[in-house]
Amino acid sequence: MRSPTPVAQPTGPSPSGPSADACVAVDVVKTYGTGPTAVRALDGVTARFRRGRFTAIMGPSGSGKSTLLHCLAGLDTVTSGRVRIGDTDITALDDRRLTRLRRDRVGFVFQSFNLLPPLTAEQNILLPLDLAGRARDRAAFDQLVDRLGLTDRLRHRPAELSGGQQQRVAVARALITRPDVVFADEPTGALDIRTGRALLSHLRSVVRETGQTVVMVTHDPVAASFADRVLVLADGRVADELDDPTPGTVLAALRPLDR
Amino acid sequence: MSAPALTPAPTAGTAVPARPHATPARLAAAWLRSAPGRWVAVTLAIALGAGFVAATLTFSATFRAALAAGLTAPYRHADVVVTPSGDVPDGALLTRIRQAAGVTAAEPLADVPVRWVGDRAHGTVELTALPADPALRWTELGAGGWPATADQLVLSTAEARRSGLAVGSRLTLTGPAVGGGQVPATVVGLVDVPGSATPGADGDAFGTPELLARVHQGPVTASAVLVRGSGDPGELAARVRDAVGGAGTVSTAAEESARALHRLEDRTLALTTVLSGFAAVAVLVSGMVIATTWTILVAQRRRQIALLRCVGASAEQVRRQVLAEAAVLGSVGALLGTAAGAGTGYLAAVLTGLAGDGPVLEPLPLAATVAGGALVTVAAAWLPAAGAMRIPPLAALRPADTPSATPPATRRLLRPVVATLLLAAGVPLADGARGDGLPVALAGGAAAAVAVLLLAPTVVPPLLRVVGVLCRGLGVPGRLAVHNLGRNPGRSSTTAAALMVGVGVIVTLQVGAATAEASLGGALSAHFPVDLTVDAGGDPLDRDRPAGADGAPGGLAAAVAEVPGTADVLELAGARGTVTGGATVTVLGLPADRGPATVRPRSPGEVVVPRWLDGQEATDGRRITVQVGDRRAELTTRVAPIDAAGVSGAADTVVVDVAVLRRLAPAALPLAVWASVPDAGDAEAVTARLTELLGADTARQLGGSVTERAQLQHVLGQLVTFATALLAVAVLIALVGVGNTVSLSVLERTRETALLRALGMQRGQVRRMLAVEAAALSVAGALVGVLAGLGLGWAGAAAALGASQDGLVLSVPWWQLAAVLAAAAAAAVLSSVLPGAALAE
Ligand SMILES: Nc1ncnc2c1ncn2[C@@H]1O[C@H](COP(=O)(O)OP(=O)(O)O)[C@@H](O)[C@H]1O
Ligand SMILES: [Mg+2]
Repeated sequence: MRSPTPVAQPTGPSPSGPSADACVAVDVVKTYGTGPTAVRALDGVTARFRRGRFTAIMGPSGSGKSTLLHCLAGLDTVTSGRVRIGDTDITALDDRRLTRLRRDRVGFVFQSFNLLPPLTAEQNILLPLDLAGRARDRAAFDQLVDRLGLTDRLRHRPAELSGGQQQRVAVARALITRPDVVFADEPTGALDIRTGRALLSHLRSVVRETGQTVVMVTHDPVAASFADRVLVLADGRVADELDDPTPGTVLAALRPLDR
Repeated sequence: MSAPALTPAPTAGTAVPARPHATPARLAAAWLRSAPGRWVAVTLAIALGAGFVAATLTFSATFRAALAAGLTAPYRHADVVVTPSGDVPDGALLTRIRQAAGVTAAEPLADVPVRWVGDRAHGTVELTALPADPALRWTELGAGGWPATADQLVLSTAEARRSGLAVGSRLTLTGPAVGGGQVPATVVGLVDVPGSATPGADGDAFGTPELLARVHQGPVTASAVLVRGSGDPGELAARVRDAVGGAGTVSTAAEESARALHRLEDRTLALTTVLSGFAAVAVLVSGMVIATTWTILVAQRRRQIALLRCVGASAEQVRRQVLAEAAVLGSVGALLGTAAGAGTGYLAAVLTGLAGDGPVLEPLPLAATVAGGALVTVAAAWLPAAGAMRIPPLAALRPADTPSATPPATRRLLRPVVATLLLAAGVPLADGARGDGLPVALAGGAAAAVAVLLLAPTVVPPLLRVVGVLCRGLGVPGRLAVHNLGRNPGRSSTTAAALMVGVGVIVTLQVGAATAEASLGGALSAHFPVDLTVDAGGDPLDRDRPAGADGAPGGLAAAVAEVPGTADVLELAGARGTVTGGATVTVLGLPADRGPATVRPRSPGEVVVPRWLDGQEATDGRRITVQVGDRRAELTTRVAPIDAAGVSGAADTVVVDVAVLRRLAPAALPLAVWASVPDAGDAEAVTARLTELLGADTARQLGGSVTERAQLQHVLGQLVTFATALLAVAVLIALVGVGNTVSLSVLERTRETALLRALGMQRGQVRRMLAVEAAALSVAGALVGVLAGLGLGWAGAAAALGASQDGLVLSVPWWQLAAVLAAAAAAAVLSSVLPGAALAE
């Protein structure tokens, strides 16, 4: 058992040059609604995510995991506090810049509904590049889909792919732009255990080989053990943090939160 | 950390540059391909709108060409046309023209309207003098030969077909002169006349100038002289002008044709305006339906669009993508619609007998229709596209619910205010425009219509609640349906409004036509008081039997009464007499309470006289003496159009009370039989039977105005049917919209319905719920449409009939209105079948 004191320290304005953090959250508060019915989904979260690291976020249902992810990724606005991706303070961005940030510097994998049904797997993967009007690097693309075992599935539409294949296409789409951070919200949540594990090992190997930063929300202690570090949320606050987790240490960290 | 595979530095030669703008278009294409069924409804709406415009264009171009061909046909082989000024007799003018240098032929152009009676049919034709010189004849002989003598004529093939006449048919011709003689003539040939006649207009016949003179009881004045000659037409015209002097104006045939076409434009302007109005309605309705449908198409893909935004599509890219879809579908739909519409327009021309010499396709307007269809679609998709831009990325993570946006208070208030202003301006304008004519009334009506449209969001929701109260009786499905409609009042209103426009215009037309018909009927009966008359030119119809004092039918009158379709058969006694001044008249006696009021003496002291009596204009309230034999009566005049029902022959007819007639001529014999034909549709059959009844006895003549009335009503009825059919397309488009709205509420409620089903709601009940929803929506829209249409139709008829406003009779075709409402509800229920089946799953 570790003490629930926050380990990540608030960072001031970054020194010159690229920081060692891919993503930083400082005192992030998110409330839904107003008045007596207001819900404080995030209650002052401060966390930093180092470059090239794979972090898992865990916590009971309703603890604010998804909300944190959305706020970090610029999909939702924070009520107060700051979020930085690389050197950019995203809480100060307008919709156009935020869109560009999502397109070029952030990747997503959701639990389900990641792909546009009318597009083929290849078109889905290349969508962020196409939207940006950026050149496609054929060799890089081929290597990525090969690593994810999608080479012979490229011409298929999502409806013709299995759940695991769909999630792998989503991973490829999230990685194709070489973003600063990849966010994944329970990417294995809709998969059976075996397929889920397979997806996670794919994800981890790609991340390791390419030096990607990944932040992944999960319920599954085994899934969390694929990560370098685990952040535990409870009631919208960071309750705990562990490095080099194993399923055992993760379960132990979560136990006091089971009410 | 090394990242060889994903370094952004592209390897030379393998980098494929992507165009940033290609993506929205490509995505649009992918979306269009992926679920073709989803796009059928909106494509249909686009195609119907464009098709309507194309049909209108082709129809009017085709029939204008046909009319133009007919109008300019006489000048076909002429080089120069002389229009006589009337100062010099035709003969002298012809001689002068023929003496001009270079003139090889000159023939008078003259025609006269002629009534013909055959063995089994009768009708009227325009009898034209056949040019003696074959070089100037503009018709081609199709069968038989040319008329050579004054008892022969040729008919146009179209008229022969219409009347069942053939080469060898024997006819009796009567000219337009009052009491004109009857001229026998035989059809000796059939000719093909270029173009074709307007339906309801007279057919064409050609005869020698001598035949015209006989029928007309004197030479017919030429309306023009056709001239053929050598050399340049301009120079020929100059030489002819010198020869003619002031006796006529001279122009080349080309100039004269151009002038005729110019007059044609004026004549067809009204029709073109009306058709354009209908086309505008169709375009408006399809625009509204396209807009609502596109809102639905965006809502259906709400999560996908949100996902696109998550992945990095800018709001602008989302807009471009939606507009790209609209441009593609707009072009495809408009192209299909225009092609089908052009065909339909020509078909309509063929069916109405206006096709002439073939379809006329105007490439530029038709191309503009396709482009316009695409443009209207893009414009209609503009607001839905703006809505798509506002979908937040996070919507990708939520179920497919659409929040119903309430417009800001200012916008909610603006509509009723603008609408009230428009109504305040429009209604008096439409109503008070009777004197100022159609354009002002149309402007007022348009303002009022827009006002009604603007009021839709204010009016429709409460109306839906009212309709909803009625649906309570239908149990849980009914209550749920009404609740659902109230959830998105904005969309319900827009859908109902589209239907409102379609129905409103149809009802406007029906009420307008019914009012016009009723009012025209009144005007007509004032001008043509008696439907049918039979007389023997002032001689007794029945010598053996004195007429009964009560006008009860006997003899011929009894036979007339037997003919199905006749009513109010009257036998009128009469006698030859004189009036003050010595003019000979036929005095008819009418029972005090029988016969048309227009021509009935209102008291025994009154005599009804024609407008022209003894060559002088008659006035009301003069005391005149009517004398038969040596008996006389002092009576007060009242002028009425009795000449239209009078006894044929040279003498004018006056009408006195039958008691007065008895005093003047105790032994008066029946001189005339009058009858009415309540249903003008029977006119044809009744006259045919009566012609047969009168048989070979040419002394007895059939008269009356029933044929004219029937023709007028027929033309009016045809116009209304045609227009209603056209506007039904608008309603069809609107119903596509109703189906779409119901589909959307299905989509929004998939989960909820699953719950209802889990709670034990049966498939049938789900379907019933949707049917009630669609029917309530349609009935609400149609109801407002009917109410608005009632007012506008009446105002329109009032304005169009202008001067005859005294006789304005508001006529409401109740059963037609009921049919419109029922059809709207039924079609709506039908339109809910597919979505209902989907939801029940
Ligand atoms: N859009 C929203 N509106 C209102 N409350 C929300 C919304 N999204 C999340 N919440 C609330 O915020 C809290 C945190 O939710 P979430 O981040 O989804 O939790 P987790 O992902 O850890 O299960 C919950 O109490 C949830 O009900
Ligand atoms: Mg969650």
